[in-house]
Amino acid sequence: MSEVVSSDEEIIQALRNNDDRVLNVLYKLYFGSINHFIITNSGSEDDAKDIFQEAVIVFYQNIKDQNFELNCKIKTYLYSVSRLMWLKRIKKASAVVGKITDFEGFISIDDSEAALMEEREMQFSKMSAALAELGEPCKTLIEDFYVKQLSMSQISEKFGYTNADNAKTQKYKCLMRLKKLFFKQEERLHI
Amino acid sequence: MKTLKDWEEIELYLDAKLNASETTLFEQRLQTDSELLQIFLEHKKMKESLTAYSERLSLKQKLEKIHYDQFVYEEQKKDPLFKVFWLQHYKTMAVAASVSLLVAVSTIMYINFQKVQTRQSANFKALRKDMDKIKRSQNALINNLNAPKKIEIAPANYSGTGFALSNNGYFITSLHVIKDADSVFIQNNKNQTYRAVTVFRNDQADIAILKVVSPDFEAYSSLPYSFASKSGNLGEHVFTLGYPREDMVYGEGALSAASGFEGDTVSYQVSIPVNPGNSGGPLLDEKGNIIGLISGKQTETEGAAFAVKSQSIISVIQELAKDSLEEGFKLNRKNQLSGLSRVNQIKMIKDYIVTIKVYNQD
Repeated sequence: MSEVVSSDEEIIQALRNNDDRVLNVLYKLYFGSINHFIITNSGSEDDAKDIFQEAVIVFYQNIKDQNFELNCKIKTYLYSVSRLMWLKRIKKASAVVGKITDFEGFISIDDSEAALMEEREMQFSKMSAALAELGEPCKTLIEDFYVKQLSMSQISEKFGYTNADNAKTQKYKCLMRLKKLFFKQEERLHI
Repeated sequence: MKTLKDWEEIELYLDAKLNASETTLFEQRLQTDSELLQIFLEHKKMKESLTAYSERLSLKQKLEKIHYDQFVYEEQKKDPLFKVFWLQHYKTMAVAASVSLLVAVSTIMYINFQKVQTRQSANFKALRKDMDKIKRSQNALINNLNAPKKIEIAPANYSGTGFALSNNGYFITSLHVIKDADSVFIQNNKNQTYRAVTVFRNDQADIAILKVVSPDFEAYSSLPYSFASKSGNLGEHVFTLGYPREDMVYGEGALSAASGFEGDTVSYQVSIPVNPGNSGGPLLDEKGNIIGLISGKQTETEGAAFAVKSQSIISVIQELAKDSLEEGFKLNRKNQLSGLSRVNQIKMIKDYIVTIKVYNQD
């Protein structure tokens, strides 16, 4: 597959067709240079993994948005996003940022796009926090329904509810609580 | 507060699972019911957020797996040399390990077995040593006189040799000669027999001191020989006189070792042919000094006889002189034999050397 799909167009097309195998190709082709960049600029291999994966997620979500237009190579795009995120992270960690050593040409990510990235990330961490606060069994129930997309009958079987209606009621209660927690998170973040 | 049913409807609407008329109805309600609209918007946001969350989560999981497969797993696979080597050679290594284990175990077992054997043979040797002693005392050096003698009225069971310690009736012999005796008689070369009693015995030196109790015993004038207080020298010519048979037998040889049987330091080894009956006989050097008392021989080795050293005799006598000998005696220090030829020496001493005859119930 990696031999077949290697051009940017093919990769984008495969992603839009929900062909997740292309993620492998992205990893193979581009992780190396970002790993090199992060490690050279005082990061660890774990940092490189995190940053690269974030960049791929950003790219993936953008590609899913039919309106998004990529005006550079995938390689450059991933490098630029990774670079931006890494800079942000080291700025957070220490006031002084040393000289950044670059190995690739990069494009500047415009502010609106950066804001979108940040918003998505924030939504994700808000939801993570809310779910964590929700506790069991609600967390698993919600995740089973919305993330794993199990049917209500599967869920009622798994949780030992006598019928799907009971499961539905339970899910409703959980969702109500999650909503409260989620918006509380939002308020907290806005303060 | 809206009911569960409203919620369900909201969900169905968002999933686009309502049919056309229901959709229209719901949208109309949204426009009129502000509370429902509020809930609807909140729920919509929640749902979008949840969807984004789940998408991101599953994408993240996929990437983690890819990362693991491509890097961690690859590294483990590559994991260098060792793993490759292991995969290529583990069979050989297993065989080698089994072999070495087998070798180690069998070596240990063999060594233990050897140890056990050594221990056993050591025991056996020790046992044989005891056997040797028994043989020595019973077979080697005590002449069995079961065959009746013309001269004797009653035949003795055993006999050995002894010699005078003093002029007043004290004689010395080997302890093993008179062991288990009911009665002991001494007989000189003139066939005169006297009854004697054991006045002292020393197991360690294997010597016994007898005293003649027969009243008709004539005391000697003085002893022609003396007892050497110094050790004899290796290679020194030595001789003995004894009664391995009815007549006195002369034997000569050399002092061949300064220690006796199995390193026994109270004895010498001498190269004199000795036979049963020689036990208790004197060992004399060329000048006629008593340097020992014949005590036995080694069964396995030819020409190896043993004699208790004269120093041992002297020290034993000095020890016992204090209490047990009522009359007491002095060891002769004056040697009358030095300078005489062997023949003359023998003529001088033969009267002092006696046969010890032992009778017991057996």
